[in-house]
Amino acid sequence: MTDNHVNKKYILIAEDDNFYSSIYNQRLTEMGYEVSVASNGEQLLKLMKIRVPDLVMLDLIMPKMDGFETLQSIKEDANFKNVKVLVLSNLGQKEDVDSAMMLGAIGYIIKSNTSIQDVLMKVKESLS
Amino acid sequence: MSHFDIKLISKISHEVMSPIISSKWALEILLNDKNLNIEEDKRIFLKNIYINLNRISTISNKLINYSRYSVNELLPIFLDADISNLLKKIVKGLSNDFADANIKVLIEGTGFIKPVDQSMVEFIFSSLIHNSIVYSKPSSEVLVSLVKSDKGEIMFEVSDKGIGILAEDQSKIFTEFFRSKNSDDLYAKGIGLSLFLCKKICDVCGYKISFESEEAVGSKFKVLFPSKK
Repeated sequence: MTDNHVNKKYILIAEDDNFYSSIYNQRLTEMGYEVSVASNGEQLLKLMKIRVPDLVMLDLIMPKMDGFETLQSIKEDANFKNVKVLVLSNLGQKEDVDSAMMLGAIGYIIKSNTSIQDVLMKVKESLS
Repeated sequence: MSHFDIKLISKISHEVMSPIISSKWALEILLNDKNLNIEEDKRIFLKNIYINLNRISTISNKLINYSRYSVNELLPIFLDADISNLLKKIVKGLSNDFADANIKVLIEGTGFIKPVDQSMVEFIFSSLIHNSIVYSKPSSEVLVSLVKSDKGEIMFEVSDKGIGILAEDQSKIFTEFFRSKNSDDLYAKGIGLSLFLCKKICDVCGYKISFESEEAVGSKFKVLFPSKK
């Protein structure tokens, strides 16, 4: 491992739709981040135990453990509670946005009215 | 509609959104990649796919809003946003989608940051400007303005020189599934939900929507954002 490798910010993506996760993965890697993908909440928590990420990009609707449960588990764990979590969802329903923010997400992106460029900008902002 | 129908519509619309959004993002990446030398005549095909995906997502979005309204869940999420930026974004998108659209934008004053439901305000801007474009001749001017008054109210207006609304139809345009007789002659296809939803959104957000129109002369739609909210 080179120093450069160690210094890279680490992003964990929790997303069950491969089409989304491959786009995030490819773009963010190109931007110089280190990226891993989990396809559900359980897998995300396992990966977090191996290496604590600088940012989690969390989808809300996932099998096994959905985004809300996952977010709650992250915030309840002393090792992870300071990890920034950015929630991404297809659509914004008031109830969902309120719950995610109350559970400690740093932001809520509604995918249907955001360009990929804006999503990547938001990630960059969150990590700077 | 039964509760079951509403639930089904909502579920399917949500499900449909995923592949649409990820396809749009993939296309956005391709279209913005300067290292990719796509010939202009082929780039048009990619753009057309993008435009068509936008059309599907607009329909899906309407169905979702309609199903939310039907179960009294059309609830705004108020977060600070710059309304003038939302307007610019919508105009940019529509100018992209309609190659022959001739939209002129006038923004007067400063301080357009307000707590608004971004999706809902975008829906209003997008629906009203879209209507002006499709109910006018190609390249006919559509004037969009956003003006902040001294009292802090923000007035959004969109006016066109299009086919106008028949006098007998004017009392019905905010009714669900209403389609005017003269609109069916045009390419302007629709299901009659845009204006209905615009009105409902304005009601839940506390905005005032109004219009003036004359057949064969044109229409002007206004939305007033009060100073408080």
